[in-house]
This record gives sequence, structure tokens and C-alpha cells, in this order.
Amino acid sequence: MLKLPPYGLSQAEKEAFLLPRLAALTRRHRERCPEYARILSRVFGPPDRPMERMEDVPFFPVALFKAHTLKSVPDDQVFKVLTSSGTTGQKPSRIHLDRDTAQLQAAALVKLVQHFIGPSRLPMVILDHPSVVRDRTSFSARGAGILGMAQFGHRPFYGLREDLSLDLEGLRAYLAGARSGPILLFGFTSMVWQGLVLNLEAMGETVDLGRGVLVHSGGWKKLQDQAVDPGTFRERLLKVAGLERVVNFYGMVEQVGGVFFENPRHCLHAPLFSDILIRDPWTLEPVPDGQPGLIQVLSCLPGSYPGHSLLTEDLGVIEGVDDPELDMKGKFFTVLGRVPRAELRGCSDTAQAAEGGFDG
Amino acid sequence: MADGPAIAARVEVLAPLGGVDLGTFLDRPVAGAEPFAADRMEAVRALSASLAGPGRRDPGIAAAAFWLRKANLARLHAAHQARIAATPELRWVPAGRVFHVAPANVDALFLYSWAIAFLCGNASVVRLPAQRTAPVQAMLDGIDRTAGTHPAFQAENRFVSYGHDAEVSALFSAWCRHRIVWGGNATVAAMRAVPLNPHASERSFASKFSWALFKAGPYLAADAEARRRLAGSFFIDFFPFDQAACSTPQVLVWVGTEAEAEEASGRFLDALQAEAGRRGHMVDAGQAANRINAAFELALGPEVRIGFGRSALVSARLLDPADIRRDVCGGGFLRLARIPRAEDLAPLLDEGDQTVTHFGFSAAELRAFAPGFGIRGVDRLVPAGQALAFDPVWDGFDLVEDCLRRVTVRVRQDGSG
Repeated sequence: MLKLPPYGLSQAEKEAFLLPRLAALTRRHRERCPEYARILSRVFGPPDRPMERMEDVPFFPVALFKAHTLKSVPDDQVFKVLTSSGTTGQKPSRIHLDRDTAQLQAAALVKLVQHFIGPSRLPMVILDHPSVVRDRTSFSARGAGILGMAQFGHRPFYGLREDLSLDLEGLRAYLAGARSGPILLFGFTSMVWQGLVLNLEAMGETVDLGRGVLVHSGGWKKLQDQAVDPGTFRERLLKVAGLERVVNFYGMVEQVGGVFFENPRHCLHAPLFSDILIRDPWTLEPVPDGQPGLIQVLSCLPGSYPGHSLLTEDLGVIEGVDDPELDMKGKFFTVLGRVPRAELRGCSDTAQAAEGGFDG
Repeated sequence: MADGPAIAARVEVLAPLGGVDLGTFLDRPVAGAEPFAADRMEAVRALSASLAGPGRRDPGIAAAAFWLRKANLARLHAAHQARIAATPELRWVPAGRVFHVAPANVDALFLYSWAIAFLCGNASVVRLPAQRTAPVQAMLDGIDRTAGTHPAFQAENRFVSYGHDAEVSALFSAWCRHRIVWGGNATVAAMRAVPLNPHASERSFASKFSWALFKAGPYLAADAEARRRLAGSFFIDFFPFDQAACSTPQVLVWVGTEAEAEEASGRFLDALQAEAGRRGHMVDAGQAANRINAAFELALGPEVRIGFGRSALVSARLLDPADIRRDVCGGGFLRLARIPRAEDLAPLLDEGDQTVTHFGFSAAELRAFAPGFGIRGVDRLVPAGQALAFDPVWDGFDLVEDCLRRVTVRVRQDGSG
């Protein structure tokens, strides 16, 4: 699988490739993860249900990983436990990887990143401060993302100080000392915006990152709050840093292999080993392409835990499939944002103690 | 503890906006009026009329305005006359001063609580939740308009708001002669910790859970129109207030055989979806996401069959009714269960239960199993469609009599005094 080109299969070829693998994973996890088996029988009916289309693959919401241990390997085979940062005040997800799944995850990420930056390690600027990865026993998702990407860099340089100011002299010195050719930049969207764009603008400075490839991930929420859309983001990066190659990235700790990089249309593109579906948030039926809904992510990599088909809390829309003008085949989509949190007026009266919760 | 005026200064008076300041209001001696005095009846009627406009935008206000209309006030008055006639040894007077703590989940509830106290001749302080919704503000505006032209209304009532401030609650609790606490277990616990005037009485309305009990046989035998009507009735019981009212049926229990319940559930859920469609009912996207999580969460627990595919609701049929937990999700999340006989509901009930809305039972059947339910906790069995209708007897207590005191007047047999 890892020898095939990551964006080389048409959607039909890819579904023919993925579907039997997803069906096999569904069987595997049903046999090895009792909680998953319960979900299947209680939500999706009898186990002999045929899986003829991608939409027939059962799924469950990512939120279940927060309260439950869902894994398909015995404890002694757990090689690594990933945790999500989650929203403040929420329990993090805990994702159990065995050696095989961890290796597949690493190999898949390498394959995809190399598609964008080539096979060799590049000089790398991390647009964050080093203390987010200092404590190696408990990473935030930010720290984990940085460490995941840092393997593609050579002698990475952290561009921000702890107070999130830009170390401009350090950055210029690093660039001057770096060998010629492309430079990899990585950071979370809001860090790139604040740490690089806004800082440079406030300082009235520019920096030449014309040979850079910026990979950024993390939500747009903070930027949307400041009325910054992806177009503005790219435009201002070009202005202050001459950065032309900007690649957004979407993924989640909960799904190994669900790794989506931006294509030249500025849409997120599903690679060989993963796919997405959009479902109606009310009926959970698949919606036609072009119609917004909840994003379901599918991946054939999670062997150690039942994460091969997950319903996210993100809204998205399919923007195209097998676009002949792209050299990347398959489906691509846009993330529209997180489902707005419902105002919990009645679910629990403890949140409103002494304010009145129920009517008696 | 700071003194009264300093504490009163921490309170925002929301309505009526004219009149004496709060400190002066609290210092007035207890006066009280004749219960159901003409000027108070007229003031409430005028308030009802002034809420007609906002009622067109908010069904909760519309229901309250309807309940406060002249005909219903006349009924309450007639009931009071009957009370007087039935108790020749008693003279009925107002409790005097009532402190109401309003709930956050049902906007209009404070109006009912207040109106009963006012009609009974009391002065009231009504504490409203800190977060003021648009409907609450509309009702406050109506109160302010009406108070301007009705002196007793203006003089006898203060609708207030304040933060988590036990000293303020203590001030009103020392002032009042009857305290009414709506708002669920946490609010009740918080208010119980606040000392109450030793002479005062208290009525607390804790968190409650409610049920629907439908007989499958009559449902399956009913014609399409009757089934459509039942779906309409259940719709108005189930969906308002984000399904979070105490009397909202959270679980629909079918009485009948497994086969009957299976068929009735399917038909009923489809009819309810159709009703929601006819009414253009839309579940908020965030709540739709909540109910998905709740349904999958439930699927990891007891034996259950989850039903997706209907936009208005997600169903969860619990195979063993003993597995029902008393949590509330909202967003159109409906649990179903089956029992062979209506009496089998009793062992599932407890003191946290309030209303059972029913369909398909005769009056004789209902009267026969009502005491068995009541002893466990339920206090109200009403037809489908009336779950949320306000009744002055709530949680089994008579709010009118709570707001009154009995003065016994007994004379010697020979009448000589």
C-alpha cells in the first residue's frame, strides 16, 4: 500500500482498494473490541449487513474516545497512547497504538509529507516556542504535532519566544546559515498568524521566506474571530514573508492515517489510505457532494483500535472528486468549522446552581 | 453581615421600574389584601392582555397569557369561593409576603408562581435568573406597562435579579412568610442553606423526570387521524423548552406485547417525524450533535436499539425498562421501552418522577393504577398534549393554598362568643 502513489488512484479505484480493507477492520474490531461490537449491534443492526459502499461502513463519534477505552489489542501490546488536547475542561481522547499501527502511521505521514517537500530532510523553522515540546511525558496536541513534523526537518529552529514574540534576529541568522534549497516551516494556524504575520507587521519588518514551504494545521476559529479568512491569511504571508507555498493540514489524533493536506485548489485532499464522507447532522444520511454536513473520516490504517471510521464534530463540504485539472486524484473538501456547541439549558442543573435549572 | 439597605443596593430591580426603592419596599409593614380582590384580578387580566403581542412570538408567553385570561381567573376565584364555603370555621388571609426563586429553563413559569401569590393578596419579590432571555424581557416589559396603571401591582411587587449572593437571598428569606423555590435540586439545595424567617413556610420544586405511558393495542387499532392527533399532542409535550421541563416526557413506555410495541413504536416515530415536518420544527445543529453523542454513549451501556434517520428525533429503545436512567439530553432524543401491564411501571418510578402523560387507558384503569404510581412519586397523570400545561396543583401541592393562611374562628355552641 505504501508503494502506491498517495494521490494516484481515482475515487472508484480508491473505494475498491479501501472498502475490503475497511470491511476487514470492522470485522477485526468487532471481534476484538467488545465496546465496538456493542455499538455495531445496537446502532447498525445485525453483523451480516453487507458493506457495498463506503457509506455502509459503520462509524461512531470521536467523542466516545474521551470517556471510553476503545482498543482491539491486549494491554501488553500497547506501544504508545496518544492523547488529544480536547477543549478546555474536557477529558482528552486516549488512542491506543500497537507497534504495527504506530509504524503505519509514521510511514503514511512520511509518504504524504514527502509528496509536498521531497524525500530529504530540510532546514526547518517551527513557528512556536520550544517549551511546548519540553515535557515529553505529556504533550499537548500542539506539541505532538510539532514533534511529528520535526522528523522532516534538519536541525529545526523555533521561531517564537515563550511570550510568543518573534525571534527575528535568530530567524534571519538561521536562514542565512541554512543550506540553499527549500525550507520547511511548520506551525499551528493561529501561531503562524500571530507569531509571524502580526508580529512582523507590528515591527514593520519583512523576512524572506520565498524558498519556504509552510505546513500549518489547527482550526481557523481564532482567525475567524478576527475576521481572517484563508485567502487573507495567505495574502498577508506573501506580503510579510514572500511565502508562496502554504499547505493547510487537517487531521486528528483519533484517526491514524486520516491525514489531509491542502491541494492546489486550497482544498483538503484525501490520500490513498483515507477518505471522507459528509453526513446530514440530523439524519446521519450521506448528503450529495457540495452539500455541507458532518465530516466522517475513514482510514484503513487503525488496526489496534476501532478508529477506521469516525464521525467528527466538524462541518465540511465535498468540493470535488477526481478533478481532471489536478494531478491529485480522489475527493477533496473544505472544513467549515466545528459544530456550534449547544447551549445546555436543561441537561444538567448543576451548571446553573442557584440560578435555576429545572422548573420543578 | 452588611445591613439591609447595603445588601438591597446589590439587587437590580427589573420591574416595575417606578415606585419606592427596594429598601423602602421591604420595610413596609405586612398589609395584604383580600384574596381575589377585584383590583388584583383586573391587574392580572390587564397583564394577560398586554402579553398578547409578545405571545405571538413565544409559545411559552402565549400559554401564560392564556392561563391569566379573565375566564381562568374567574375559575380560580370560583374555586376560592368554594374553598370558603367548604370551611365555615376558617377565614382565609394571604400569607403576606412571598419570595419566589424562578427557574432558568422555563421562561414563563415565574408568571404563574407570581400571579397566584398576587391574586391571593400577597406582596412578592421574584428573583429571575441572571441570564435574561428575550421572552423574559418581553414579560418584564408587559409587567412594567401594567404596573404603571394598576397601583396594587406597582406597590406590591418587585421583579429582581442578583448574582450568586447568599446575603441577598437571606435578606428576602428573612422578609418573606413563604418561599417558593423553582429550579431543580441544586437550586433547592443552595436555597435550603439560606436561613428562612422561622415563621415562614417553604415550597421547593426539585428536579423531576416525566414519562409517557401509551397502550399499544388502542394505538394500533386507532384510525390514521387519531394517530396523527396523538403525534400532534406528543409533539407539544415533548419538544418545547429543549425537552428540559420537569413534565417533559423523556421516555415513552408502551404497554402491550413485544410485537405490538415494536409495531406501535415504528408507526408512532414516523408519525412524530411527519408532525415535526408539518410544523417546520428544526433541531439546532449543536443539539443534533449532542444527541448523536448521547445515543452512541447509551449504545455502550445497556441493551438498546438506536434509531437514526429521522431529522426531528433520535430514538433509543431500551430492551429492559429497568435500565432507564434519569438523565435529560434534549434535541429530540427519545427513549422508548415496553412493559406488559401498566402496573409494571410502578416499580420503575421513584420520588424524582412527576408526570405521566397517557393514551389508550380508560378513566377506571387510570384511577386504578394512579395510587400505585403516586406512592412511588408520580403526582400527575394527564392526557397526551397536556404535559406542559400549568396547574395550580404542582408536584402534588396546591400553590394557592400555600399562598394563603387559615384563620380559625370558632364560637361557643350557643353563639355567645
